[in-house]
Amino acid sequence: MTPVLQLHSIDIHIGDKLICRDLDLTVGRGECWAILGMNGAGKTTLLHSLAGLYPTAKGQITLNGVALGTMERKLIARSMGLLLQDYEDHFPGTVMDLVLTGRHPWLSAWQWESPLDKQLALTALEKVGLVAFADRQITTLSGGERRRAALATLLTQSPDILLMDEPTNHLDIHQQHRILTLVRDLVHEQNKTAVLVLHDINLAMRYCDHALLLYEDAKPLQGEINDVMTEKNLTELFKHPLTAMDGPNSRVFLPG
Amino acid sequence: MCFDLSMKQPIYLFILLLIIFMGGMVLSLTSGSINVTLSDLLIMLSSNEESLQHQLVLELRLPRALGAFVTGAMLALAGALMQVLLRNPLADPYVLGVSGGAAVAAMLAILAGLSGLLISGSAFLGAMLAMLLVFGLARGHGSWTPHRLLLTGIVLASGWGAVINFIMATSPDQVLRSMVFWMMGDLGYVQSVGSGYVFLLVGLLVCLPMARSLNILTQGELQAGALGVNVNKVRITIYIVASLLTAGAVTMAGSIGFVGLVVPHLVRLMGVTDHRLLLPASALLGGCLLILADTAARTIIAPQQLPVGVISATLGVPLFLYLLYHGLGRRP
Repeated sequence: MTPVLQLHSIDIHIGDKLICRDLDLTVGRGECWAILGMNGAGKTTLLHSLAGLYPTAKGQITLNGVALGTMERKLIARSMGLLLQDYEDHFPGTVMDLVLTGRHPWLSAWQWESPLDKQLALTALEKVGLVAFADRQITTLSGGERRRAALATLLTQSPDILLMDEPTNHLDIHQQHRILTLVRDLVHEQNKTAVLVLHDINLAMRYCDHALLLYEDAKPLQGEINDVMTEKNLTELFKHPLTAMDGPNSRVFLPG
Repeated sequence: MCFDLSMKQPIYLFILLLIIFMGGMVLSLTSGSINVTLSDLLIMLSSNEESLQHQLVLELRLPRALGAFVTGAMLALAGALMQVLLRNPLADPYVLGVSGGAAVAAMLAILAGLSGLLISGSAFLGAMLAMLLVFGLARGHGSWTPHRLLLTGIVLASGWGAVINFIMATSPDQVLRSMVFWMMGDLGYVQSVGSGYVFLLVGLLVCLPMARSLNILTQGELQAGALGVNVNKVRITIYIVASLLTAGAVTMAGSIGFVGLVVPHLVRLMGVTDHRLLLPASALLGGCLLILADTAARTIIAPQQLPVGVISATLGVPLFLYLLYHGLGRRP
């Protein structure tokens, strides 16, 4: 396993609240991580820190061995992409315009998107099932369609590391599995790396191979998914009784 | 009627804008208290004959039209930049109080008995002061969110407004008229047109390489950062450029409202949302609109002149509403 993204004794604060203390984490190439925790545990903030977009109070983050803080944003964006939880659509623009912004880190200041870039955008739209929406205004999309358009932007960016904040948010059950299958295929077939913030324990069990649980005491638990995701750990994490059962594809948890 | 001059044919949009520009120039040079025919104009431009007409057109109308163009272009460009910077479609070049600072400084200069270029100079300094004040205060403890910037700017703009009212309420009647100029704007006293064009060109040259970053910045700072935009650098640059353009425009012609707010939206409603096209198109359209408005302002009840802001709004409001209704309504 080649480490691609590493945290070295990281402290992260939100205001006065400490969300993790002395966190060491090594994400290897070809791994798919799930970050789980209660509302307000700091999952999103941790993900933004991984992207270099939220300051850490202590410690260092390295991307392929290079300290994130010393890298140009454009170079970071070539190897690491982030799917955000929310959008700000204040100005008009088409889905195609939006998806093409994914090529930004790959183009120089005066360069325009080439037909090849447009082809990449179309391929991404095809993968998320939005080809027919290319000329639609983004403000006319439903929540799930907007989510998939954002995902297509990330695919067009084609980074090696995909950080995704609740990728299944707003999606119906078919689309949830379609998108996560897409992510898993990228990880397995193209040796990409994914870190997903998820709320659905069973989706995490099914699609991820590693997990990081963010507890309230700022001491996260991490490791291979089958070791970490146990009845006891999850019950403690969510402060809600959970029962493990054997599902058709993986272990599943039912709330008690 | 089709206004969807979309990204696919940007060339048509610019041809259309150039035609409007040339039409506006001809109209502006030929009409006024003394009408000049088009053929007179052509003869005049190709000969060196020193007639009264010649003087009128080349020494009065031409500089004024060129001044109107550059003022409108600077305001529209500044407006487009402010709207992205504050991520607020309602932002205009004056929203952060740059024009208020200019007006206060100009009024103080008038009260001090200064004239001409000295008034313009202090207006420019006032605009710079207002810009630095907003910048410094909004920065606070390092957090520089659009919200904070907008609120700081709006509060300071109200402060400037209060100072303006105070000065006007306590000033002698004979200087009031020249003070009103800074409130309403007027192209009759346009000076140093050349420096305006330098501002405009530098502004465009600085912003155009960042235009793709601006497209992404409309999606929010986090998304822009995630896609490799150096958000702080881009924001500070567009803040400075927009403020300088506004300061330049205000110094030349006072605070002419409406152009900076509406022109970028007019261009968007024509189907152009990419800032690489939107910025130059806004500058062109803003310039054209102000040439036309100024020509109307000085001809409608000639020899008396109307404030150009009255005309730009009279032209712009119905045009904007038409496009808003038909342009947006047609969107799939």
